[in-house]
Amino acid sequence: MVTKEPALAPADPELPKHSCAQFLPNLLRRRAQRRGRDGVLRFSWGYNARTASDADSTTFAVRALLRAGYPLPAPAGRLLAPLVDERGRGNSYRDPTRMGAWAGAHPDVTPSIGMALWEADADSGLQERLARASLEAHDSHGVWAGFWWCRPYYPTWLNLQ
Amino acid sequence: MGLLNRNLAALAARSFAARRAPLTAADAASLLGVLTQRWQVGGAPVPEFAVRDVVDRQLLDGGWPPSNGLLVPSQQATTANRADLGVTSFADDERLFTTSLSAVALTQWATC
Repeated sequence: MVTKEPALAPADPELPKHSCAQFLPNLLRRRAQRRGRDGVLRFSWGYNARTASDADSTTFAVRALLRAGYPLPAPAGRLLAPLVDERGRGNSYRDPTRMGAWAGAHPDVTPSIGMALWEADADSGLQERLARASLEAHDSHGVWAGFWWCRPYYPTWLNLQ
Repeated sequence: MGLLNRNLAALAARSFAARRAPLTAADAASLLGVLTQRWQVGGAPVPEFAVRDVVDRQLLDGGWPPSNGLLVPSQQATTANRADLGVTSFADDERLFTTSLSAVALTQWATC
């Protein structure tokens, strides 16, 4: 299957020559194209070029592109919806047979997906489901425990946002 | 939703205030984020110590020190049982995470 790379807008000439906004789109685009086991080319990101794509890296890349003013390689909803389960919870990885618990629903990932969709102004229905799932995930002290973090400060801040 | 968030933010802030364990730089930035969030939704103002705790940790090169807190749990772990599996935690040695987190927390507080 051949998929044409999406066109990206040229970097803003007003930005400093070595600003991150100059190289960000190419860097992110190069890392974005991954072919799944089913052979379908998808746009998503992993924490390095050799690992499976994950939700956190993808949401960071989506938000970075949006903030730098560049178009996404695919609509935000299409990029992120596959990482949300039927209860509106964010999964770090898509494939539980390969990734085990890493593909589970994680309370520190759910809000990252929601914020990326919100910043992209995309898929309000999915945003609502993510928000509801987030509100169901805190403990009786108003604190969210993360899967990827020792302590709850960062996951709690993410969820409150 | 706003009222719910105010209650939740206040609850989280009280819970964190009761903790005695020392904070990493990333924890301090996140705590400032939680307190700013509480303020944004009409709760108590951010106490000065929380801002100062983030500002005082900034290094001379402009960044913030690494924070040990990232977990790479077993692929058989769950959020509930991962601590029992003896998971090792890692610091962001390049300091990118803690530095960006601190900058975002201070920016949110300053623009609130």
